[in-house]
Amino acid sequence: MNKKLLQVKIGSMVLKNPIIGASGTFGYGAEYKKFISLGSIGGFVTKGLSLEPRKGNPEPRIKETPSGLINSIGLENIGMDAFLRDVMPGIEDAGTAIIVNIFGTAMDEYVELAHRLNRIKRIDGIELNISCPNVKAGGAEFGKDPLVVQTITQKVRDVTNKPLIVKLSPMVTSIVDVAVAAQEGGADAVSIANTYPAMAMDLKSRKPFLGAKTGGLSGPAIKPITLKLVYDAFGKINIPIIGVGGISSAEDVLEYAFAGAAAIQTGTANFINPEITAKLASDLHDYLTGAGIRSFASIVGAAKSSIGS
Amino acid sequence: MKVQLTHNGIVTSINKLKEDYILLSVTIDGRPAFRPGQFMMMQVSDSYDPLLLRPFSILDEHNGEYRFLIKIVGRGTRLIADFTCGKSVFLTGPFGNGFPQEAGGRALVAAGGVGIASVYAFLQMLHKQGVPYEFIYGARTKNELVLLNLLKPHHPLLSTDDGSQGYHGRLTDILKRKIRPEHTVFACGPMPMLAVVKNITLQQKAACYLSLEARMACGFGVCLGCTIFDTSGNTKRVCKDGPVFEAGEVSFGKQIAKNR
Ligand SMILES: Cc1cc2nc3c(=O)[nH]c(=O)nc-3n(C[C@H](O)[C@H](O)[C@H](O)COP(=O)(O)OP(=O)(O)OC[C@H]3O[C@@H](n4cnc5c(N)ncnc54)[C@H](O)[C@@H]3O)c2cc1C
Ligand SMILES: Cc1cc2nc3c(=O)[nH]c(=O)nc-3n(C[C@H](O)[C@H](O)[C@H](O)COP(=O)(O)O)c2cc1C
Ligand code: FES
Repeated sequence: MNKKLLQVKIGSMVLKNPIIGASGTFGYGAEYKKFISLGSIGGFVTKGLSLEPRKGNPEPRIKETPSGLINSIGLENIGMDAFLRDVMPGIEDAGTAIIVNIFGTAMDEYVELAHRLNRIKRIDGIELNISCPNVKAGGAEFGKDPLVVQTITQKVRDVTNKPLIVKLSPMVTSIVDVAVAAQEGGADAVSIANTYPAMAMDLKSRKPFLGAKTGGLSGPAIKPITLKLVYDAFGKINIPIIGVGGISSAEDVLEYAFAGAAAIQTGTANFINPEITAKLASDLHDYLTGAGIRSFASIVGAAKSSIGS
Repeated sequence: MKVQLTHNGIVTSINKLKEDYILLSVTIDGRPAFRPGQFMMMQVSDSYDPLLLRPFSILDEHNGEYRFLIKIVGRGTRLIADFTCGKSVFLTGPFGNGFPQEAGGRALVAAGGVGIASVYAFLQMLHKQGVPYEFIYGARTKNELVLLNLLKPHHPLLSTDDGSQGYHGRLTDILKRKIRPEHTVFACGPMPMLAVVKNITLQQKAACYLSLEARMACGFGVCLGCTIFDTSGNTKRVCKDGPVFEAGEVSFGKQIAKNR
């Protein structure tokens, strides 16, 4: 097998293939050992971790919508200490890239988290979730303002030499501006994108269905919207784009690749078929060899390439 | 270690029972082992809408044929009602902890409504183990008391809210009369019923296990969508830490308000 066929480079991190399990849908990785051989996928991103454990939002936390899912988990997680102490030993042998997703409600928290991860050899990359409320700025998201994005990326960059991915919010005036800001701050890649703010009503109580009232929409329903964001950003930055939003099939992966995604993450699709990441990696391999394409990298951004197909 | 937890089943029979109940049989290759009280996630549509799989307790299994008792309550279950023999169905699981493998002393099993689906395999296990047990089964009307033929060996004490069959009243009234401190109670049913069961067992200082329901996205512990807050305020995943919990852990305050 041609090893280079599916290989992807994100900063200094080399992924076997472009298929990555998305944060918040892949647990801490260990949960998937019984479903797939983790070594068969490019990597996975852990559930978002904060310094302190968090219990998350009141129930109900999920609502199914047409071809989509609204979640308001509220970033429930075990906290960085428990992750390093209890989870890491069990995933060290994963045979795939381990990317740790981190978030905080103040910039210092991001810096502290990244600083702590920098010492852990087995951790291959860090993904910053900047789409959460900034307590200091009165609850506004870090991810909305390009200047804030650049500053936070820069501050984290200063304390880590690990591959650094910034996960962007889709709810921005210009995706290009925030993507450029992340690049200027020293990011090795951007993930485009997180979920879309959304809600549903309870027909009986006439009130918001979710305990937290609002949540984030994911799944096939958002694919065309996020796909466009990837397309918009491609060519405007020099760092790779990781596409994430509604990917459920090899065809979806190809669409994202043509739009400009050098790698992709699957989120909600893991809930429906927990083996989907491994299946996508193998389907993609079959497609590329069947079509006589020499490498996945060669089709990235095909939609904007002047050479065409 | 990798285990086979995704399956392409084939529908071998589908029977409409009384009211809105369906008995569905699906053959699953590899015959995944399960414990009483465990469930599987079932795909209801070949398209992305509805998107999520639905959780259903495993009733029983014979030679690779798994049975599910399904109550039609919404879009997904209505789609299942239209399944035909030979249809392939994607499933994941079995998931969840299931009921304890030993009943410890004398068992009192209580099922309310479709809760019968969750305790059925457990009853079969108690029967086989030769453990002494009693079984109470209640519903709103006699049309919602299903599987009565299958349940005969378990000598169900029946109750209906409208008195159309068995005791006229709540199954928890029967439970109140029967319960002794040496009993261990196992119950599945609507949240308001489980809240009463918990109170009764608490008063009697009897051990009690409750099988809960929650909206689920994954069914195997990663989405954190099915989380409940226990009596100590800690989070528990119904799919993975449950669905069976010691009654002492289960906090009811909010759910009751919501279910009323
Ligand atoms: C561990 C476990 C085991 C289970 N085992 C069984 C079993 O063996 N048999 C069985 O029949 N069931 C079982 N269930 C329940 C079963 O999973 C659900 O009934 C099923 O998922 C419903 O799917 P649906 O698509 O038909 O309903 P949905 O369309 O999802 O709706 C479910 C209910 O919620 C209401 N609802 C939906 N949206 C709204 C809204 N916006 N406002 C107000 N109300 C709303 C609907 O009216 C309906 O009553 C189990 C559940 C769990 C968690
Ligand atoms: C239940 C759930 C929990 C999530 N938790 C996180 C999280 O902790 N951190 C994060 O950056 N993204 C989180 N996400 C967003 C996903 O990683 C992904 O960006 C989004 O779901 C879109 O991809 P999808 O359509 O393939 O699901 C979560 C998504 C879901 C559905
Ligand atoms: S349903 Fe996903 S964690 Fe329980």
